[in-house]
Amino acid sequence: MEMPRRALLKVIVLGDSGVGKTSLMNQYVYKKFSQQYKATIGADFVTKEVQIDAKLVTLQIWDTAGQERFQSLGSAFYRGADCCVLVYDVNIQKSFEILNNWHKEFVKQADPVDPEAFPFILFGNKIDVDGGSSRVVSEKTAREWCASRGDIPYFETSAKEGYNVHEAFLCVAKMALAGEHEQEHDIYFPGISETVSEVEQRGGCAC
Amino acid sequence: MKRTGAEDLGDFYPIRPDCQADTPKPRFKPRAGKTLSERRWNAAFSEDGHLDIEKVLRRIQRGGVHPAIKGSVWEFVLGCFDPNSTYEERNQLRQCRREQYIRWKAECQHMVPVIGSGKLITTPIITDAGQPVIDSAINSCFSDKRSIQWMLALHQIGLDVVRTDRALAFYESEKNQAKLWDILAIYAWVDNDISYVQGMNDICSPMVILLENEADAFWCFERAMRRLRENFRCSASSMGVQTQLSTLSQVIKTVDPKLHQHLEDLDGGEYLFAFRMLMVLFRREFSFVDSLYLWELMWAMEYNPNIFSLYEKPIAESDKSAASMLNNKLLKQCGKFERNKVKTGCKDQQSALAVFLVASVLEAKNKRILKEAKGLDDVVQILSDITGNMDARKVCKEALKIHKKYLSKIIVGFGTQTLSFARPGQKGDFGILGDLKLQFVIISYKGFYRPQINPTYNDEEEPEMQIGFPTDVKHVAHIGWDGPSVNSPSWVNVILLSLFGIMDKNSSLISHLKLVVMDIEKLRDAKEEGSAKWASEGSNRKGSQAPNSPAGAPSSPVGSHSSPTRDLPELPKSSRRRSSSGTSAESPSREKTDKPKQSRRSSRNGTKELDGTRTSRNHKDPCGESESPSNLPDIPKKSRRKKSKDASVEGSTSRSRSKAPAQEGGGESEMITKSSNSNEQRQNRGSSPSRDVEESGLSGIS
Repeated sequence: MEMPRRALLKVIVLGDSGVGKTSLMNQYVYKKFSQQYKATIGADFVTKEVQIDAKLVTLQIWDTAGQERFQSLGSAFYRGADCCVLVYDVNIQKSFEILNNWHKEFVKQADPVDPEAFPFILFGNKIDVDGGSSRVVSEKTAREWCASRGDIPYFETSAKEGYNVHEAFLCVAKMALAGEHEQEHDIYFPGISETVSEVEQRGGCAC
Repeated sequence: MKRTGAEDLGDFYPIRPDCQADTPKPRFKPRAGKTLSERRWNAAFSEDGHLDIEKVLRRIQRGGVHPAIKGSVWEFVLGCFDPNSTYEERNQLRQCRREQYIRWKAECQHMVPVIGSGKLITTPIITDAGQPVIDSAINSCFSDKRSIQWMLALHQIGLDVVRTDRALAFYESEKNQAKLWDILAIYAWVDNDISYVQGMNDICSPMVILLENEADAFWCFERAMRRLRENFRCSASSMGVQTQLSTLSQVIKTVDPKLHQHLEDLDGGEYLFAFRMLMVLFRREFSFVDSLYLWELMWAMEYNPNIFSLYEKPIAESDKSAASMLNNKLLKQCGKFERNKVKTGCKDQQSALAVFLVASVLEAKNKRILKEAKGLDDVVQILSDITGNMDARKVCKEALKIHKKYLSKIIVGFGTQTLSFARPGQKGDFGILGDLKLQFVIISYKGFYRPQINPTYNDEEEPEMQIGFPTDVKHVAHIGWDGPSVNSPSWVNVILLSLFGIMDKNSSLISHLKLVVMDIEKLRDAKEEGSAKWASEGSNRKGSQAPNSPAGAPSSPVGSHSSPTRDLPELPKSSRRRSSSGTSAESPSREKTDKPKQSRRSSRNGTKELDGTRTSRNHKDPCGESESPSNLPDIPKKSRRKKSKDASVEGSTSRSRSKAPAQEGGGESEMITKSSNSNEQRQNRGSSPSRDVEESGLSGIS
């Protein structure tokens, strides 16, 4: 069957070690959560097809290692990104504080044409832990930070329970598509084969 | 306890019931007669504890190590202990190291009391500025930079430990997790230069499982890190492993330019997709059991008998290569990979076997990558398909082939490399080549490193390595030469003259070297004809290259001057094969090998079992047979010898048993000898260079 040419959108997921980057991606793509994920070494990716309005796009979501020491690899992995997802753990202050650093490093290493306009998005993960009682970063604090960074969209998620994960990534896809430079991708990926061929139907994005 | 081939490894490394569905099935099975068994391991020790490492390495390289003894075997292959030491000496050393570990642990415990408590931490205990997050977690007297840096790493270690090999029942226990955490934390303290980087947990985890004593596990990990630590070195602009990645790039570029070009076109010339394979040594691509198998194959193949003494030095000094100063006897105690490296004088630390393992994986996927990969993500995808689907031994075997191919090409490629190749041992010995009793130097088109160095090497079934009976030492340095350089062979002279320089102290080789020099002269003449394929050989083997010439027989080698006497004492060591070298006319291969084994087995019934994994091995091994003179008749080693015999019958082509006969024919039989009539022959060859080129095309890995 002849498939229409699809846009491929490259998404980078960044955040401190152990905040749940791998879990979020796997929840989104495979609808599974596991306690057995290993630490990500280097970077890895999954793909998923999403339909946005009339357009079918392939999200290529890159998972990265959380330890800061791996940051020097960034420029290689961030190249050509269409959107950057920042993740922190609402139960760990440090994972929130370090967001500035991740943001800055991404801009520096990905070197987008227009850093001001480059689409970022923030996920506050693990809101399920202890029923929310161990939470240390409030939603308000997080939204303030987002506002200070040029109104980047914010989602509270639980990869474990699958809460808000689809909505959050759908927003990612829309933002990435909006800012995409088509030619770049169509040259390289004329008809990418996907690992997950589920078509996302829902629309509507908080952003 | 008697274990046979088909036992269930699940007994050794049980998987949690809820994880069994998601865990790849191990492919490794201990194979009778191939895998190093507990009994054989015990029998490899002499009465006072000297280990016949050569024998043990042979086994490991064939079939890995039985799980019951992995821990103790690893301690040797990783260089924790000197095989050439007694039980007594090793016990002392072990004791000493355990005490050292306890001292370090006490230091750490003093700073952070949770160390050694059976618990671990996963959240930061200190801020970047050095302020305690929870006051009770640390002793705030320690505010120096080193202590703060270390404390900052502790929660990262914890975060990774709780995610390490969680499918294994072993890590259901918090105590075991804490053990892994303690070891990594103490390592980070001791090696503060590297500290902790994600991935070290994957390297350390098996040691914790295999060695019950925490200090022993620490030291085993520390030794493994000696090889790996540079990969984990991080700077603001790069990671250490990128050095190995660029070596990988160089290797692929050399052995498979087409693939390299394709990857470059996809903007993948940095080979970052291989990052994880090198960082955690294929832990994610192989099942737990198979990665252990792969590691022990690797370490056995990389083994260098100098490793122990090298590692006893401080870390900074041990970065140097162990390659130098290996005499012939020690060379036999090298693993296959290391031996090739040493022989060619390749001291490059970055060309670890792991790099060639990745190369072999890439080569295995070569067609798919070339055909299907339209972007780097496709490459990643294709490579992710290998998970759980690879055979560790096959990967190693291919890696060795690629390594040989690579060596042959770089020796040709870089004059300076060639020089170092030619001058390996400076301290007044004859250097490696001298010790190898260099018989001749072959320079051929299309530089292919044929397996002459060890004729058994490339056999499909890969009979055990039997490096030489002294009298048939038949090492051949084979220098390849790519076509284009034929017009400027001046470096050839440099090599040969350098060889001359090395060996000038070896008077018995002088005459033969003179002939080499004469050949250089002839080569100069020949180059006008565009051909430079020739060989020089020992003076007593003139003409041996001609097909059918019995002179090709190794039994009267150049090296013979050096002595049966000198090597004689080694004989007993090798004693496995029983048939005497003189009689075996055909095929010494496996069946034969296995036989003596059987007989030994029965003779060993009385052997006491050493639970090597879990205990120190100070019991005396009652079966130090391998050292006993009664084994002399067993001696054997003849696989080479016998091959050599074949050679004498069949002429030079039999010397190399490569799988690619055409190539072989093109190589050896076309060689021109350095005898008096060789000039004439050379002229003949000179007229057909193109044929040579074709015939000696690449083999093996494509």
